[in-house]
Amino acid sequence: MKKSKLITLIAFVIILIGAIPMILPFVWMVSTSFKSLSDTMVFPPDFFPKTIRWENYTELFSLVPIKDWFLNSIFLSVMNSIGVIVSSSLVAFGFVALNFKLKDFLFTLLLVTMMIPFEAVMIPQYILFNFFGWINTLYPLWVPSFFGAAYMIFFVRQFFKTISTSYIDAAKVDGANYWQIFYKIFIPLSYPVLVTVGLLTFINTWNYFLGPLIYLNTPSKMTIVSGLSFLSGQALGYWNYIMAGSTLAILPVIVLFLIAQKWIISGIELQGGIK
Amino acid sequence: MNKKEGLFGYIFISPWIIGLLVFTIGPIVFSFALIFSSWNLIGPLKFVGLENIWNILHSTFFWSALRNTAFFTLYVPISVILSLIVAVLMNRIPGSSIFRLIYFLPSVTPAVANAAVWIWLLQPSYGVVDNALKNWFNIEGPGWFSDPNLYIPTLMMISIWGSIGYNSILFTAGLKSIDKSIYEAAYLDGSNSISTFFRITVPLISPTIFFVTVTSVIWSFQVFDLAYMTNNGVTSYYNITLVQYIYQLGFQYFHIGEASALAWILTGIIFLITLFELQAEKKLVFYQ
Repeated sequence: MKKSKLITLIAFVIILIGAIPMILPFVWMVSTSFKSLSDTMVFPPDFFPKTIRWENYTELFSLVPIKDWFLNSIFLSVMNSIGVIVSSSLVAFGFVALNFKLKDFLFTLLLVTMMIPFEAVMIPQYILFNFFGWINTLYPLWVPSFFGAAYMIFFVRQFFKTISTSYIDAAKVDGANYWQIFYKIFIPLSYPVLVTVGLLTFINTWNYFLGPLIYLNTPSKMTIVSGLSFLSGQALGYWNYIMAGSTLAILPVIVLFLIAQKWIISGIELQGGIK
Repeated sequence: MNKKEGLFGYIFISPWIIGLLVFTIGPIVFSFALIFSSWNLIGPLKFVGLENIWNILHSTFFWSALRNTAFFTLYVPISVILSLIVAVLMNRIPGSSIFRLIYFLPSVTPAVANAAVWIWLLQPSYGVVDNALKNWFNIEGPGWFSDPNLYIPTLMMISIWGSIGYNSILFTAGLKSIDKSIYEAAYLDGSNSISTFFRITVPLISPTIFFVTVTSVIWSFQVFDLAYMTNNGVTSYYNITLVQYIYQLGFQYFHIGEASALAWILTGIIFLITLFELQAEKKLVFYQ
């Protein structure tokens, strides 16, 4: 017994030491965000700011349109979450509860499209949205989500498959139509999975960089992430401002993660379980 | 199967069908035509045959990008091993939920913000890491991002840091699914922790190890955010990655044809890796 306690202690110490480099960059980020510019260049660096300089944040709001970035990011994350939840549950329901001729073929096609990397369609999609006149608007970054994300459709379908077909048969006997079976049986039974899908989509959209970088050119149209990249080019050397921007970019996802970690982690675990 | 049910089936999946045609198949067909064309988005489209592919294969940038990206991918096995160790250790200790949270932080925050803080930490001379090296070990900090030999290893280090939390959650889920009685049997047979780990844990979660490795390798071939941030948009032979080269060709120089050709080469590479890994799966993975 003594030996196993020792092993636990060693495990604890290793995990504790490993946790330091995991969290320290974020502590340093927040600490720098409250320093004056001269404090950021002190040798050796102070771990905590001498005086808390809140002005970094207020000045940031007047230097760059960070309020717009925030609103754009929130808008896109919410729209993508709604779009993915609505479209993936509809499509997954079609694949699980209904029979039609091309079902197996189309489902195989769905699996194939999951393997296509974004880069393969990035350029022609840009040309398409350019044709629509959507460059420098938010449309290319949320409209496609309402037409289904292959991966999330597959994810929701895996859950829908666990819902017993006897529910469907019973509902049919009671005279329910497909639409009612969908939103009165499948949706209430699977809302945990749909919440998880929404949360994962929200975080992925919030963190997404390449799309906003390609489509959004004027500063006021940017998202918090593409804006942060813009800011770090504009404020070269002003690490207090850049770190204040970074803190604002990470804060919402960290808060969301703290509130909803059970859902998010169970979603990630499920992804690992899909084979 | 009745007619009405069939019709409703198509209605329910219609959003995906429309999306597939408009946002995936249409673009893919068009993109295939672009491989053989010269176009700058505005002027007329000109057929040039295999010239784009020829240009790509004869560009030093392409080969450096391929080499850099392939080298970068080597962070995956390191991250997988570390994540597995973290998951196994966390399984044993009290307070693991708070540690799990800490380890997971870099996986949930935007890569762009992570890159920003690492650039700041690794600033030459006045960055905190170089300062610590100087004060504690009297080592002169290297050019983390500016030394051509160190650039990719630095990105690998940041990616390992950013992926351990996520991967170890997947491994924790894998560990949970192992039947506890197998461990008890091993314990009664006098197996020690190390041999239990290699003889029982690793084979039993090999499907998860495989899944994590495959998805991570595919992601790592598509590395962009970190690369874009850390070389400040100024790319050179030593620091360009494949997706960044596509971005540069397509959206900075508007060589749409060449960018499309390169995108297809990358897609081909990813398909080959997937095929190779599926073959390897048969030999290496143990399914219960």
